[in-house]
Amino acid sequence: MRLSISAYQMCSGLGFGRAATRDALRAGHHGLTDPAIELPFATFTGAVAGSFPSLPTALSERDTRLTRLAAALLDSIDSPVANAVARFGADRIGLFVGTSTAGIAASERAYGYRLQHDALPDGYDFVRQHAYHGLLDVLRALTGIQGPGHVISTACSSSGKVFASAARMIAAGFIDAAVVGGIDTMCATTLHGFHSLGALDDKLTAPFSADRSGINIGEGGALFLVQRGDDGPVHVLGVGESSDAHHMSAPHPEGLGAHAAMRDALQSAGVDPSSVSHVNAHGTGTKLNDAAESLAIQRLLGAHTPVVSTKSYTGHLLGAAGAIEAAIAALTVETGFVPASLRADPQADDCPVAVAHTRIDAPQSYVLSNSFAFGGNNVSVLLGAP
Amino acid sequence: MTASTRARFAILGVGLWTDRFATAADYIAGSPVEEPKRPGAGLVPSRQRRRCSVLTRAIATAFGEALEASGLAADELPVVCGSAWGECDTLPVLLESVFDDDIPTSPMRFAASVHNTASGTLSIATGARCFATSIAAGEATTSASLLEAVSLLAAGHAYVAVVVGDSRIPDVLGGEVEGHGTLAVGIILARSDAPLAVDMPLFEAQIANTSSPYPAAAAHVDNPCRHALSLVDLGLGDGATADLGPLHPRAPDQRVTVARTGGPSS
Repeated sequence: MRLSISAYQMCSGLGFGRAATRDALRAGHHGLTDPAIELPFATFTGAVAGSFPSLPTALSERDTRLTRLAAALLDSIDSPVANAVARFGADRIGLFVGTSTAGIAASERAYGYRLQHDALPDGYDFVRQHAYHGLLDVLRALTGIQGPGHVISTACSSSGKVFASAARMIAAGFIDAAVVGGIDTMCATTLHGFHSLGALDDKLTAPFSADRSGINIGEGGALFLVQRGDDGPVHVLGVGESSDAHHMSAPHPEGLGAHAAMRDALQSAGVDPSSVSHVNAHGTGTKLNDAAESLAIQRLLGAHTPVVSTKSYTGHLLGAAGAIEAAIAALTVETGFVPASLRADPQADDCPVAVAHTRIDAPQSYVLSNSFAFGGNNVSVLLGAP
Repeated sequence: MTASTRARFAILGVGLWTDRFATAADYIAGSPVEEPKRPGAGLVPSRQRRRCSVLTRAIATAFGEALEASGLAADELPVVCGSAWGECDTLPVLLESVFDDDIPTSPMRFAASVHNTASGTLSIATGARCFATSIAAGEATTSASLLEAVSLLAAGHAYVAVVVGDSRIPDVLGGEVEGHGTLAVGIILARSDAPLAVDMPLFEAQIANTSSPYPAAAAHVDNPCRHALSLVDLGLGDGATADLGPLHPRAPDQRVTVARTGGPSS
């Protein structure tokens, strides 16, 4: 499989857009701050700064922060998408997006209103605002895309898997191109949930560090236009998908599923493990994930391939993690650098991989981007230069 | 789907669970249960099963029935789970804990609130370390799930399981108290050249213009996955064509259909 990335755009706590993200990564500036949401515990979050325009009137019933972010990202790539629609036909363009939170933030507000007023607020509609497909409806309406599409919601691997769905649909002949990506927004339910698991760091997250103690949650995402062909500065060369078959919220301790996903991504691309330039790790900053993922990376790639967790900049975007990290991987292929993995020093003994403690400036031919999830769901995406 | 992209497959097994019917065979025979019971979810170990929502249990039950009929082992069987609303039953409890400082969030419930709880549960229960996914597309959830499965067959997988299901939207978030019940349908597909497809009737999926959707039973008329009932009729009953619902909501007459091709694969 090979997909050409014709256009992409991204946003996170690092800012809106490729240039802002690239500049922050190169400078080693993270986007994590005190949370804007009132919480009964301490943590840091990576929120997308600023407000975004409301949706057109015809889509007002679907107007949420999630869909506004989607519209803003789409606005940056709407010309290439329109060209693809004109070239292939609207029914030959697919739409595959990942989200884990969907519109839960809208339901939080509605539930809070109900507690005070004993009724849901006017305008709240679970189907149009909370449900996963609200994101699809808005993107379809804004692009005119008429081909097959769905939301993938496999928690934190959601938006890595969209590349595989698009590649299969293109290979099967159902479509010629697709808009893919993922978006998640900050919500209290998620923060409370990860806190209940003891997985939130009350300090800045420090993946692969001996002092690591958990996740910082982020929001944002990325959208891509992918299609057949050899144009585009970056390609998706392979995707591996696997399951741990171990536990709902803990990774397999030996990283078996992570290893299988990375191995399959490389095999599907015909790329030798020794050729991998660097790994954008799942790297959540939890004890269990970073140790298991390190074992898997070491077993497949050895101990010398540079590894970075860009969650040390953006926080964990959950259902959008696969998309934002694939976009970051694409930036590193285009620009030729590996960001420094922040706060990984002193590196943990149980993470025996070559964590990039400082930025590496060098061409990046093959980059693996890992995303692992609740339910033991794993995906690894191999991106590279044409 | 153009002629060149029509997809042929065999159906090796069908499963179903609803509030009224405990198995697909009961549904075809029109033999409802006297008293609704919780879905059995027999393939999920009891300790794990106790933590499952009704939706996950229903999906596991439908999957288990289809798997048994297929004769396949589950440990290398890719699974596509589809659900429009996902684990929405879990949401009110989580929201309650967010707004009431005296109610701690349950880590177990939080971990089981993700959309892929059912596919993860199946993977853990069966030891399957292969592909699994969890997708949503509103009223198009069933059609999207089948297309995802068909694309997996085209990519080289010999067999793929599709399980779709939904429960009712919680009433605290606007769901109708008398709304549809829980419904789950499982189906095991085989590529037309797979060993177990030999001598099996073949079916063909395509996107067709039609404005005569499948007439779902009143009990499920609002269930986003109701279209999957037509797959049960096709796989086990005397149906000739299954209407799996719209390709997407903006084109209600563009529907994914599955039809018998008239003969076995060999």
